[in-house]
Amino acid sequence: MSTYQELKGLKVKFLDSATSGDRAIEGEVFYNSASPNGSVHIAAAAWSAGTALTTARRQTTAIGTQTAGLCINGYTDETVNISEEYNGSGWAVGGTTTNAKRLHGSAGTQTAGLAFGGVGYLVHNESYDGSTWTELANLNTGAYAIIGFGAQDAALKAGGQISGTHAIDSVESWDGSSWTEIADMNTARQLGFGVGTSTAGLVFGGSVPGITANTETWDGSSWTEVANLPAAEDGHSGAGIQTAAISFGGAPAINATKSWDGTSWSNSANMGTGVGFHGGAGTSTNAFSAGGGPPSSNVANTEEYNVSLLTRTAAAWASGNAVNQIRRKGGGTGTQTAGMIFGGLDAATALGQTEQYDGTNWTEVGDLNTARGKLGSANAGSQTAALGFGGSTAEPSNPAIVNNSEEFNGSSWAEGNNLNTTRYVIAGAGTQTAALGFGGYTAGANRNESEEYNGTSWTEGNNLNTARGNIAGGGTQTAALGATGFIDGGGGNSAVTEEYNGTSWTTVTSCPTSQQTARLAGTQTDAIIFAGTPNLATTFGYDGTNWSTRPSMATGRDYSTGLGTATAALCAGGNGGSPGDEGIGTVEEFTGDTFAATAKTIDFD
Amino acid sequence: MAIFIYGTVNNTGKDFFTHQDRRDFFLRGYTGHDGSNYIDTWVIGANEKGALWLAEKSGTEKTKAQAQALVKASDDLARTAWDDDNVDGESADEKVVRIGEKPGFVTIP
Repeated sequence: MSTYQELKGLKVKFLDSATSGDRAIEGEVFYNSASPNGSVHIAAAAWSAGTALTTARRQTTAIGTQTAGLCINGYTDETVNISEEYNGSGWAVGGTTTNAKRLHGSAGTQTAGLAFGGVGYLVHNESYDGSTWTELANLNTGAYAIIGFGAQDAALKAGGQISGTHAIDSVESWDGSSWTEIADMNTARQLGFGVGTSTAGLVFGGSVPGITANTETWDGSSWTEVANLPAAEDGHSGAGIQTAAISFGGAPAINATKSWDGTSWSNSANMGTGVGFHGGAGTSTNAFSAGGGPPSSNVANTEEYNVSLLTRTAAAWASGNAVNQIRRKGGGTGTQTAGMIFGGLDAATALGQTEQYDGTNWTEVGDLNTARGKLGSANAGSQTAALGFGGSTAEPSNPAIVNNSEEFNGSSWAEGNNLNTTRYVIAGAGTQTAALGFGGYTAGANRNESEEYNGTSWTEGNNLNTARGNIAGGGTQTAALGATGFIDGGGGNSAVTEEYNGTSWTTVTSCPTSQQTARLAGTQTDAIIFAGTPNLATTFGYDGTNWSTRPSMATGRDYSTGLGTATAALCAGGNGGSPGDEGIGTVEEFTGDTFAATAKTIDFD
Repeated sequence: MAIFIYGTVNNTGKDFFTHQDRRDFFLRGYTGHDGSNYIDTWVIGANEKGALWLAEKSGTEKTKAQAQALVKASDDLARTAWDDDNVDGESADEKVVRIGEKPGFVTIP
């Protein structure tokens, strides 16, 4: 009998776990001594939860890929003209379409999209360049519940409903400048789905009337009936190309997925939550679903479909143990498993208490010499090298603003040299020996000054472009990030985001919402901000260029303490609702997306 | 079919809700007040895992109206505390900078 090595030219590895981590290769056969058994890494299909859309909606459409997707329009309690862009982690605001529409067709990509038709027998046709929608030549026949696929300059519109009929079989082809009637489908349908190109397409399902499983291919000149879906469906979505596609979901809210290999359909992994009238796009191995709903309500659900060795576990916030001293407006530094918070305010008293967190428990260590809240902190510091500066020593009486900074060495705080500009609600970045303080308030005045600390003294740096306080700050002294804030004197909450390069501040893409007292974890190019006023639970991610949504916290709060990284953050304390009480002590821990290889056991029987 | 269930149970810290819980069902916490004490009030996705979570935490299920009333009671206290928190000579803007804007009323989903 031949050996595996003789057949494959490979030895069977001897491993001590079912997952071989970054060594995992599809088709890899190994012996798992932990089970013990023979195992193989085989790619498997699975849906996992993604970050929800900002606006829940149904009767929407989607185009693009799993890491560069676009969800277009739909219905909330009215027809909307909004689009949202997906980067694989979260959603960001996209351009506003010229016409509100739903149950329309779409084609193309996130940066070269096309949307046409819609409820009301719309003839409108628009293109998207990644930022702006532009009106183009209308359809010949206005319809809704239509099938759309292809590219921005070579798309097909098939079927749908027109006034006075249930479903039509007519097809129009778009060449980038005008729509032309071409060969009809064999089966008239509405609420079907299509994938592929204008010369190699696939349409499946729909209502004829009566739900159908019918599938047809398009070769650029004619339609051909091919194998039916395993079950009839309409209101579904799909992804892929003519020879490799998937169909998922459907009315009223089914969770089934079917896979097409160019010849026949087979059942694949179910979605986590059944939806219908949702958007869907991507490939047959990496797709996403967005929005949809049970028939008369909307969901914001995003799910990702992957055929991979790697199983994705979606990001989420979980509860941590509460801090010993309930507080708000404190400082913080370190990591999720080696963090510390210090200072803050209870109902009317400034606090000096410092606590360290090991990922499970909080332990009290030495107090600040000057008890205070609303202080800045070098939030890339550590449990043995922290820095706190500025702040207020009293509330609710007039804030007694201080400028002194203190250094923590792992057991006690010592006085450092003072800030040049006395202020509170100042943001911070960097470490104990290379820190940055910026923004904040003095009495009645927004501050725009930034100051650099070298472990001994503070030196004036260049100013922020927008003076404000309560900024979410983080990063390092030479690559800092300041997002959102509050502009006293009528400016209100701000969405302004600025980056510091060690010399000057540059205004970059604004946060999706105007807010203040949010907290930041991470770096200038990989950060999240979370919480904020008024008692926000929202979380946003920033990749150095764009903002997108992340899973929300369970409990909204403002004036909390935040620390850690974009994939392992901590939010402690804050205001839970009452500015007159002592705040809250609850803690939440954020874990970003994780991926792990899984193996299947070989059955020798 | 109801989308949410409602309940009260105080957050006990680590593993009170896990990352997996957050993936399995919608969960959003609000500060409520029962006339004597603050109590954490939760809006929970109405699926099997959400309902099981509330039961395992020995929570008390509430109707939406009851949950909203608890949250409103907390909001009332917060708004009264904000109204009462004044400093002689302080302008309205300065007050907002000092303690933030007056809390509004939270409407639970």
